[in-house]
Amino acid sequence: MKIALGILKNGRTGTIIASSGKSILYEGRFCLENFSEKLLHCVSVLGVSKDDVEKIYLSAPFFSERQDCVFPIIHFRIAPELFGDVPAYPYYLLNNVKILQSTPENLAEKIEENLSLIKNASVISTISPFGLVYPKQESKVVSIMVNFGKEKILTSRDYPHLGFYQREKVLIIAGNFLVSALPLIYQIKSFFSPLNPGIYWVENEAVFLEADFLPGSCGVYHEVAPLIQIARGCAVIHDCGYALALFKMGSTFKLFQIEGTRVNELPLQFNLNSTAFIQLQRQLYDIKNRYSKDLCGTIPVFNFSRYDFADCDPFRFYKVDFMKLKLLRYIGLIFAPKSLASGTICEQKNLFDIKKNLFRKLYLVSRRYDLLKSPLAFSQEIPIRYLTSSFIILKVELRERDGEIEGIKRQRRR
Amino acid sequence: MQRITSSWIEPLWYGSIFLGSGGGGKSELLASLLDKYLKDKDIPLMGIEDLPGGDFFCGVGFLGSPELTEENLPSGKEIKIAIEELERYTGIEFRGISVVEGAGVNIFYPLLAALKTGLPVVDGDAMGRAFPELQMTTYHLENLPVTPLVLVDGTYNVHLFLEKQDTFLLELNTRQIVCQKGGVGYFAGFPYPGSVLRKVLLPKTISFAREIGECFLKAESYGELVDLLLEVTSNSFYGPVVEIFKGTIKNISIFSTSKWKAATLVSKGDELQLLFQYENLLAFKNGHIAASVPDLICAIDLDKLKPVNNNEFYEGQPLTLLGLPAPLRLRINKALDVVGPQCFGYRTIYMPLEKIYKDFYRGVYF
Repeated sequence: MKIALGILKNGRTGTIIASSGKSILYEGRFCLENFSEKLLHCVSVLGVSKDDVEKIYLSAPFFSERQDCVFPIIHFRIAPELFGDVPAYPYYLLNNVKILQSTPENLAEKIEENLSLIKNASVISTISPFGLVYPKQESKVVSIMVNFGKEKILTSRDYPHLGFYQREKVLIIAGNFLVSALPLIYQIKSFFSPLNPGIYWVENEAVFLEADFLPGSCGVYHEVAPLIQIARGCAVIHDCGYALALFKMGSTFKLFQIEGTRVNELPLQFNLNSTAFIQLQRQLYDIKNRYSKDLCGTIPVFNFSRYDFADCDPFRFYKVDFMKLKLLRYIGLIFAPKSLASGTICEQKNLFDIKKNLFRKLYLVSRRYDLLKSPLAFSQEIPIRYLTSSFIILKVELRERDGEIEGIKRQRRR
Repeated sequence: MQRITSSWIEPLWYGSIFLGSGGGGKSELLASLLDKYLKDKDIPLMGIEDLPGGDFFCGVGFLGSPELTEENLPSGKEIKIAIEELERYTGIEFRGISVVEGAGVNIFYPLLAALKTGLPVVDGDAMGRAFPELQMTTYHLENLPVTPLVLVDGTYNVHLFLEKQDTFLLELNTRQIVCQKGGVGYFAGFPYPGSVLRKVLLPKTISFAREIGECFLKAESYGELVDLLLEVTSNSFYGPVVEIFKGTIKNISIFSTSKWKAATLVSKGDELQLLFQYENLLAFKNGHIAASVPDLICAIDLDKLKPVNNNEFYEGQPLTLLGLPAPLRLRINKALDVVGPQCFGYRTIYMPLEKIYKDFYRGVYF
């Protein structure tokens, strides 16, 4: 029997699950100290060998609690004095992080003030506005930190997301990943050694973790990862080829579209003055218009919000039992479609070569670990204009081919 | 005098994209920020006819890459510095803010400046749409210099252009700074009294953008949207909007530099080539000219019934291209020398929409 393991961790403790197909066979709690023992317990309770463990999924959000006053992550924000206000990030992201904001001129002073914190930190991250294309300020921090003997240093270039706040959040998430998830990955590797089961990081898709964490693949869906997994799990359990899942987060609705096992968020239209209900109504109206041409029959909407909605053609709303959420999330985690992703920032003139090389690298990884049978290749190019050179943010991805989705769509069209 | 409140932001958002004619950029963060500020405040909007002749106004705006604004979101502090610096040099106390480019991000940025300085905004602009360069304004057509101008770059360094300078040269100089200092810049310049602005500015473009945006919010079908747009544009100094093409994007090609791009749209055996750089500039249907700059070529995503910028195009996207005649002042020979197709490097002459779609316009007007 081939099994897949899922690992979720919040704070000091976490959960290991084991599944075969849609059946959850094992669920056990662990803490960092007894993680290997729990892995052994899982394998022995199920009566399987290490050989039978095919895949291991680590699910976002993944963080650990700070135990003393030592901050494992030091984050340098190098920005001019007049730099705009930075939004507040979720508490759990900042729990392990000490943010040191400094102007480029006062950097040395800031480092001196916080010398003891820096010495005790295991991960350093740094960001500056426009750091993607003008890495001078960040390079300065990197060179100083290298002199302090720091190895894990994250910069804007490693996580090429456009937009200061988005990139900063992703850098902090990546820092948390290195602090919280990496020690577990080492334990998993040593437990299964010499075998090498695939280890994946799941926010939306299951991103294969090569020797090092593939840049650009964390952070984007970090906050909504549990919702995505629940939505996917629900569609898998109910055998829906196409479905929607509705959640409410704070005052806004979150609507997800599930096609086979692929989930994507349908952003509610940019709509400042309308209430959340009107925004949702408009989105559903758009979906109705878009899909009525292609699809016949009803579209199931799994309703996880606490509101009741009346069915209206073509939507049928299903209330889901909140007791089942945990199970749905586990299924959604295990059924995450596999993907290999990479990203970089490059000049327009080198785009073709760099894109080719990145795809070649991903194909090699895929072949070496036998990950994706006949993958689909995707790429996204975001041009940045008005700079000394034409820069492009390039994201490339290989995705699992989901033959099932097409089959279901065809069936519904009939 | 009208007042801009938070209820303006959403229609202005769609109107600014439409008048951006494929470019001009957009920043959701900036619009959300303004919406937040305007919850308990408003901005007076002065009609051009109400401008006191002796009061001075300064033009403010944003230069560079709208995408990069999210790297360093403008807070309004930078434009306050620029305006104060300009006041110090000119010795003039400004009584209001004028809009230079009434489309894209540059509709919203002057509103932020107005909020931060407490000054009113003038309902008019100097382009009537989005254009990429400083000389492409009605000030240039009236031989009025842009200087004195203060530019604050993305790293908050202040650059002064105080002496009278050729607008083309100024465009090169400011662009060079913007490119080297983070790809964004904020300027305060065009210091002119109300009596001059009354002659120079294209009137009511801010409220026109709002009216355009309202059409997108009201329409429930494509037919309804076109009817609403037709009604609004026919009653403006632009002219009635015309459908250029309705189809699907077959491919998008990028030529030698990323500045030159083309999208091919197809529909029932017909093919349209849309040539664009920052804005949509030329359209050729089955090899014949279908629209040309300075007329506005606006793209509507048929799935969402919303206007889209050309950097959001993707293959397979169902689109409609609508043509909106440019204001007459942008169509005179002197204007075409700076905003005509040849100014963007194309070897073709400007062909007014009214000439290309004679039958349509005959039907609308007569």
